[in-house]
Amino acid sequence: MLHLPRWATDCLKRADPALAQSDKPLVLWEKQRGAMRVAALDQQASAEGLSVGQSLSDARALVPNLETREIDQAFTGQVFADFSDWHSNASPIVSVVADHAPYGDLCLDITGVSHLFSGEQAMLAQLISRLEALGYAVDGAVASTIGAAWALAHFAPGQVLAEGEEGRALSYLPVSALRLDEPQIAGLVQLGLKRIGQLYERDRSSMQARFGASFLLRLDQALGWAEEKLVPRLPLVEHFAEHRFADPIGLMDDVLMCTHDLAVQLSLRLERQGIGAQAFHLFLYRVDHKVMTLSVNAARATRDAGHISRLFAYRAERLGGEYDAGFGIDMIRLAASSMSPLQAAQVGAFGVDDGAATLDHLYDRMASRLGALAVVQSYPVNTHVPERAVKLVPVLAAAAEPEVVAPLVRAPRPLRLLPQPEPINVIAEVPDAPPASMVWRRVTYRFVKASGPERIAAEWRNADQALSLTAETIEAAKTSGGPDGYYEEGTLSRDYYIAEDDGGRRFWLFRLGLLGIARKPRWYMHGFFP
Amino acid sequence: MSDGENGYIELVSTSNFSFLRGGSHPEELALASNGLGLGGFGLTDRNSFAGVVRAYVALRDVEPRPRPDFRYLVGTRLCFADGTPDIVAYPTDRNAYGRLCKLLSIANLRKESDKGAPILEFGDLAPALSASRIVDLSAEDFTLGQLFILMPDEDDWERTETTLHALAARAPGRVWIGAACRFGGDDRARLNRIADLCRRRQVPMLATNDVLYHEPGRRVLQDVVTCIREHMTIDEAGRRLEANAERHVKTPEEMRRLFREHPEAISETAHFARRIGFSLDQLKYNYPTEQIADETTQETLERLTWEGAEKRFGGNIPDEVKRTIWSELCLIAYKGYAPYFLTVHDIVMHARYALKILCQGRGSAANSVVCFCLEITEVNPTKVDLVFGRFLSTERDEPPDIDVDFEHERREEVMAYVYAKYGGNHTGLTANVICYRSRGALREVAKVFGLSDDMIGAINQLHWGWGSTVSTDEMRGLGLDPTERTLGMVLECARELHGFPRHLSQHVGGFVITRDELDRLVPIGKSAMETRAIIEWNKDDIDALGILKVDVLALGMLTCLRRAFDLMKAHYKHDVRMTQLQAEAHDAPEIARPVFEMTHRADTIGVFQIESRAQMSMLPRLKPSNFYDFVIEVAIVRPGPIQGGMVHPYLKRRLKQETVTYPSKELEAVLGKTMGVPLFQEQAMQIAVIGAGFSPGEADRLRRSMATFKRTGGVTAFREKFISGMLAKNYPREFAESCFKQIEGFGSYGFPESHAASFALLVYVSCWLKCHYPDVFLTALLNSQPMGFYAPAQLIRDAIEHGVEVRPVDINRSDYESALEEGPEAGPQAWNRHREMRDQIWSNKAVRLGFSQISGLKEAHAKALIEHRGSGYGSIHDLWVRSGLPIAALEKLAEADAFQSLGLNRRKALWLVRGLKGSDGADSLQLFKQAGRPTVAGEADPELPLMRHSENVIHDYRTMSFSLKAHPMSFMRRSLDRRGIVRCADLGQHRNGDRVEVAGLVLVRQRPGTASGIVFATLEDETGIANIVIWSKVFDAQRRTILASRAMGVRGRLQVEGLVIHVVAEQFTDLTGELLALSNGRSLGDTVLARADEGTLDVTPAHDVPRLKQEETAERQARAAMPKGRNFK
Repeated sequence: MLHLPRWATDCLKRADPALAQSDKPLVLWEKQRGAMRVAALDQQASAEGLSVGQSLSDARALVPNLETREIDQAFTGQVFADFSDWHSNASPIVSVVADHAPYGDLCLDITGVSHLFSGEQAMLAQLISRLEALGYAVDGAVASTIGAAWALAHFAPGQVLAEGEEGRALSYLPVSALRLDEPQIAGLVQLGLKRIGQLYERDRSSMQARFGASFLLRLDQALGWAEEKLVPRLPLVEHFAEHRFADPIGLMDDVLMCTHDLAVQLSLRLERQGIGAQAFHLFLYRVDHKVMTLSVNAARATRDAGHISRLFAYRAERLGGEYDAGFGIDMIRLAASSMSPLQAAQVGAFGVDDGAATLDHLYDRMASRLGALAVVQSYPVNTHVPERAVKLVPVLAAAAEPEVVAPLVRAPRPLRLLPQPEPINVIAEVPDAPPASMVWRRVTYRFVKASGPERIAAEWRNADQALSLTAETIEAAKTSGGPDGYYEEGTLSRDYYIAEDDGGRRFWLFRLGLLGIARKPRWYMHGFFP
Repeated sequence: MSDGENGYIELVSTSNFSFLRGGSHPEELALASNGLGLGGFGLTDRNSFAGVVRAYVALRDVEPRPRPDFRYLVGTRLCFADGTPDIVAYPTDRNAYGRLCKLLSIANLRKESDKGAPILEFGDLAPALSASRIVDLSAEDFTLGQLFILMPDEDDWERTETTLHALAARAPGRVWIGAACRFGGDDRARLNRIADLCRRRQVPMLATNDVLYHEPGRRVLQDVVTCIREHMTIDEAGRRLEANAERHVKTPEEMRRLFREHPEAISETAHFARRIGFSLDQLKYNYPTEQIADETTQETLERLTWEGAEKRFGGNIPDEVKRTIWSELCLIAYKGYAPYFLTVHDIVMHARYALKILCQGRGSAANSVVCFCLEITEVNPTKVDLVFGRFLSTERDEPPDIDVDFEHERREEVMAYVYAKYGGNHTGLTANVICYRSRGALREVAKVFGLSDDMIGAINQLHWGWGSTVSTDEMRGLGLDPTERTLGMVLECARELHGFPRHLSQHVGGFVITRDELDRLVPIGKSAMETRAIIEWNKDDIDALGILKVDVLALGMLTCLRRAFDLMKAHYKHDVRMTQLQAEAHDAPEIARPVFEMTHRADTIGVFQIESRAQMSMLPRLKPSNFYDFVIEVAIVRPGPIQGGMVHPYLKRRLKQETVTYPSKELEAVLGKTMGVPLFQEQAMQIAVIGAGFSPGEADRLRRSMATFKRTGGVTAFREKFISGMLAKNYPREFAESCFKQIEGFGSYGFPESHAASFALLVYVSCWLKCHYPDVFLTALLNSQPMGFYAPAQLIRDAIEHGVEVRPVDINRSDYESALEEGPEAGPQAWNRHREMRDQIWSNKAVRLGFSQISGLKEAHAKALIEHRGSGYGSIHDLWVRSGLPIAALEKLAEADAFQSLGLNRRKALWLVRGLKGSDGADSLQLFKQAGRPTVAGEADPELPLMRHSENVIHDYRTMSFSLKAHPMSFMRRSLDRRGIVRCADLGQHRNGDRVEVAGLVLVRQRPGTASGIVFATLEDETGIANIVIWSKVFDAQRRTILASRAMGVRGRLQVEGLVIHVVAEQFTDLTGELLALSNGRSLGDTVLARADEGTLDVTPAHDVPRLKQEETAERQARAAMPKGRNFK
C-alpha cells in the first residue's frame, strides 16, 4: 500500500515548476456549500498550522502570504489514476483505494512479484524512493490484508507485516485507521474506544447494534478474517487503428497510402459508435525506438476517411525536409481525439448543398497547407470603439468563440477603415459643429453636407491613468467655465462625422477631444463610405 | 437665467434609487441642478418615489440656500411590463399624487411581482387604456391630474405613436413628448422626427437630457451598476453600456445650444413646471383620531396626564411639575400632537397591562413629563435635569419622536396589536434602505471586473478595520499589487459605490399610522409578512416630511428584566418595580451605595450597556456614585465623545487632576453638569447656538447635514461658519475644532442626554439585580440569550464567583429554561476577589441549567421530555418509551452528560442510547408498546474505559460551550506553574511595569475602529480573566498565533491603573496543542490522575507513533468544541 498524503499539491507543483520553487505555502480550496474551504495543502502549509476543512479566509488570516488555487477534484483523481497505471511496471494488479479519498491511496498486489525486487522490504523501499525522487511525499507499508496495509501506511508507515501479525500490529493504532465512516469513528471515540486493540474482545452483536455491520466488516478485513478483493484498473479503450509492417517502410508516399487505409478502418470504427473527431494524430514508430508524430485538426468533427487522409497529405507537404524515416518505420498508428457525437447524415435526393461542408473542407485544406493561424475570418467584438469592433480569428478556432450578444451599432459604419486614423486639418465651428473643409494628404476637400456628431467616449477601463472618482464639487465646475470643464478621462472621447465633399465622396472623420477638455482638439480621418 | 421663458428645467432623471440604474444620489442630482443654474429639477425614479425626500431635504438644508424660484418637482417614471414606452408622470396636486401612489402600490402588491420588482401595465393607468376587452369601469382613472411626458421608444415608433394616441385621448393637453440628444450621430434627424410627430399629434415637445448621473465622471459608476444589474463583467458588457458620458445634468446654455433648432422644447419645460402645484410640503399628514366619546383628543390627553401624575407623584404633585405639565400640554395643543401621544399611550398601556410586556420609552421622549405621566417613559424628569425643548419645541418644525423598547421576544405581539387596531391600509412599516457596505460593494465591483472569488475573498479579508484606506503593505502581503490598474479601479469604484442604496427592506419597528389610506400618502410594497406593508421611505424621510411614527423597538435587556422580576416574585416574594429602584438610586444613597460600589470594581459582567471592555475600564476611573454618573457613563463611551477627544479631559477633571474651567460664561450654563466638557448631543447643539451664533434651526440643519452631505462635501460650508462663529466670540480654535469634530461624531452615534438617562435606569436596575440576586440575574440572562457582550460560559462563571451554586442539566431535574432551586446561601460562598460583596449578596437559591443550554437539542424534544416526566424517569429506556424522543435527541442528552441522576456517566449513557437504535430491528415506538416489554435487557456491562476528568470537561464544552466541572486551563496549571506563568487572578499582586506571563482560553479579540489598529484580547483561566493589549506592530508580527490560538500564553508588561490591569503583550505562545491533548485524557505534567482511558490492551506506549497522527479525531472534535474566540471590529 502506498499513501501519498500530499498528492493534490505535489501533482500541481510538478506541473508548474514556478509553484514548486515558490516558498509560499500552497493551499488548494474548493467550494463546499457556498463557502471556500481548504481541500488540500502542502507540507509547508500544514507546518504553518493550517488544516483541511478550514475556511479559506481563516487560513488566509493566519498565513497572509498563502498561495491558493482552486482544486479540480475530477482532474486530480484522473491524474492519480493515470499515475497508478504507471505502477503496472512493478505489479500487474494495481488499484486505487478510494474509500477515503478519490486519490492518494494506491494498492499493489505484490504476490509473486516481490522476489523480482529482492524481497518485500526492498521492494517497498524501492517504490518509495523512486516516487520521492519524483518529488512526491509518500508513505507505504506491506501487509497481507488491504485493511492492515492501509492502516499501517497511514499511521505507522514503513513496516512489512508478516501474515498473522495484524492483530498485534494494529492494536495500538487509532480506530480511524480502519477506514470507517466519520460518524462511526466519532461514536467509538466518544465511548472511549480509541485504539483498535480495544475493539478486539468486545461483544460483536452489541458492537454491531451500535456501529453497524460495516464496522465489523472493516475490522475483520483488516485482521484477515474476511476477504477483500482488489479491483484492478482497466485501461481505457482508445480510438485508434494501427498497422505493423514485416519490413520497415521509409517512403513518404507509402506512409500516406497506409494512412489512408488506417483512416478507413478508423472511420468505420467511429461510425459504429456514432462519433466523429476533430483532431487526428499519426504516430510513426521507427525501428530505432523513436516515434514521430503528426497532428492535424479539422474545422468540425468528422470521420470522412478521404478528408482525414487528405489533411495528412497536405500536412506532409509542409513537412519537407523534417521528415526522416531513419532506418525505417515498422508501425504506424492513427489515433483520434476531441470526440463529439456525429450522427450518420442522410443525403436527401432534393437536398440543397449549402456549401458549408465544401467551405469547411476548403478551410481545412488551406489551414493544413498554410498553417492553422494563417487562415482567418473577421469576427465582431462587443465594444463601442470602431477599430476594435472587429477582430480576426483563425477559422479553425472561430467555432469556439463565444457568441457576441450586444446591441447592433445604430449609426452607419464605413465599409473601409484606415488601418490607422490619419491626422487632418479641419475647419469647423466650435464647439461641435460639423467640419466645413479639410486638408488630407495635402489635398483640400470642401464639404457640402455632413452629419453627426456621434460621440464615442474612450473606454475608461482601458485608460492608462488611474481611475479617480472622488466627488468633484459643483462649485469647481462653475469656476472652471466651459460645459464640461471638469470632465477629465483617461483618454479623450471622439466625435465622428460623416462628411460629403463637393465631389460626392463621403468620409468618416472624427475630432479627438471635446472643446474645453482637450486644449486643442485634433482631427483625424478614419474611413470611407462607398 | 432662470427667469421665465428662458429657464431650463431637467424633468427626466433617474437616481440610484432606481436600484442599479442611476449613477448618482438624488441629493447629488438636485444639488447639481441647482449649482448649474437650472430653473428647477424633477426626480423621476422608475416606478418609485423612494428617493424624492432625499433630494427635497438636500435642497432644504444646503448651504448656501437655493434661489427662491428654483423648482423641485416630484414625479415618477412609469416603466411598463408590457412593452409600452416609458411615461414620466408628474402629479399636479395632492390628489393626483395620491393617485400615483395608489397606482404604484397596486403594481408593487401584484401577486406575480417579486419583492422590489413592481409589475405595471399600460392598462393600469386608466381602465379605458386596457388592451383587454373586459374593462372594469369601476376601476379608478389614475391619469386624472397628472402631466405626462412620453419617452419615445426608438426601436418601435409605431408603438410610441399608438401609446401617444391613447394617452392624449385620455389626458388631452396634458401630454408631452420628451426629446433628448443622445450623440448617436443622428440627433438632428431624431429631433426632427420627434418634432414632426409632435406637430402631427398636436402635442408639445419637451427638452430633457434623460439624466442618469449628475456629472460625467459618474459614467464609470453607471457602467459598473449596469454590469451588476445585468450580471455581466465589464468586458462582456461592451455595447450594452452607454457609448458616451452625455447623460449628466447639463447647463441651460448647453441645452439651449443642443436644441437650437427647437427652442420651444426648452421653454416648454418652464410651461410644464408652471402647471404643477404639488410639492412634498403638501403631504399634510393626518393622524388617526383617538377620540373618546365627546371629549376632544386634547381633553383626553390632559385627563390621562393628570391621572398619571397623581399615580406617579402619589397625590401631591410638586408645583414645579404642575407648571411643566401645563406648559408641555399647551405646546402639544398648539402643535396638535395630542392624538399621537394618545396612540403611543394606548400601545404602551396595552403592552404593559393586557400583554404584560415590559416596555420603556427611550430617546428624546424621556425629556417630557407628560410622557412620564403617561407611563411611556420611566425616567423621572424631576430627578434628572432634562430639557423638554429637545423633544418638542416651537421653532423646530419636526414631529416628536417617541421610541419605545419592548421585550425582544414579544415585540411581535405588540406589532400585531397595532395592525389589529388601525388596520392594514392605515399602518405601514418604515423602510430601511439597505446600502452597499464596503464588503458588499467590493464583492460586486470585483465580480464586474472579473476577479476570481478567491481574490475577492482575499481582498475582503483586509477589511478587518478597513477605513478609507486599504494599507498597500497589507495588499502586498497578500501577493496583490495595489498599483495594478484593475485592482486600483476595483477599489476606486467600490469606494464610490459605498453608500449606494441596494434595496429597500423593512425597518425593525418604525410604524406609520394614518387616518386616510396609507397608499395615497406613499407607495407601499410587500414585506416578508404577507399582511404587512412597508412604505418606500425610511425614518429620516418621514421625519423630514413631518410624518409621525411610532418606533416599536426590541431590547433584550427588557426581556431579561421581565424574567428577573418574575423570578423575584416567585422565589423571593419580592415585587420589584423599576420606579421604586430609581427612587432609591436618587433618594436613598445608603441603600444604593453597594450597587454603585460594585461598579467601581468593574464587576459588571452581564449588566446592561456598561459591560464592554471599554466601559469596564472606564468604571474604576469614573467611580459612579449617583444616578447621573450612570447617565454620563452610558454617554461617554461612544464614538462621538471619543472622536471628539472629550473623554480624557472629562476624566481628568473628575479626578480633580485638572481644574474645571469653562470656555466662557455663557457656555457654563450648558456645560455645567458635565464639568465643562460637552458629552451629550444636545450640548454640542447648544454650543453651536450659543458659541457659534447659529440659530436653533440652523443648528438642527447642521446636525442633519452630517448624514446627508457626508458624500457631497456640503459640510465644509457649515464647518467654516461654525469655526468662524466660535472664533468671533473669542473661543480658542482647538476648542472650536474639537466641538465641531464631536458634532460630526454625533451625526450618527451620539446619545442625547435623555436617551442616556433612559438607558441609565436599565443599567441601575440590572446592577441592582446583579449585586443582590446574582442567581436571579444569571437565570434571567441565560433565558434571554442571545444578548449582551458575554457568552453563557462567562455569565455562569461570574455567578459562580459570586457564590451562586450552578447545577448541571439533568433529565430528571431541568426545565427547558434555566430555573432556580432551593440552594445554599450564596453570600458566604463568594470568591475572595468578590469578598466585599459577601454581605450584599442576598441569594439563597441555586441555578439549575435548562435544556436550552444543550446545543442542538430541539425545543420540542425538551418539552416532550418534561411533559412525560411525571415523578421522574427510572432508566434511559423508560425515558425513550415514555417521551417518544428520537435517538438523536437522546444522544444529545447523553453527550451533554444529562443522565447523572440515573447514575450513568457520559459514556455509559451513550452506549445505552446507541444500543436502543438497532435492538430487535425495531425502531418504532408503537411496536414496543404492543410488545409491552423493555427490549434492551441483559446486555453485559460493556466496561467502557472511564473518561478522564479533563476529557469530561472538554466534552462539556462540546455540548454546552462551558463546563461546571472544571476549567480546562486548570489541568495545565502544573506545567504552567513550572513555566512561571501567573494566574489571572494573581496579576493584581504584581506591580505596574512588571514583566509577567499569563495564559488562558482566548475569549474575545477586538479591534475597535477608534483605537488606531490596537487589538484587545481577553484571556480566561480558572481564576479569572486577563486583558491583553496588543500593539499593531506586535500583532502583525505574531498574527497567526494571536488569531489561530484557542489557548495562548502571553508575555508582556503589566499596566496597572487603579483596578484596571492590562498586559501589554510582547510575546505569544500557542497553547492550543496542550489544550487539545486534554481531550485524550492526558494532562500535562500530571501523573496522579487515575489510570483510565488508555485501555488494558494498549501495550504499545503512545509516543511510539508519530505525534501528528495520533487520535486526530478526538483532537479535531476538541478543537471544534473550544471557544474560537469572538472577533469584533
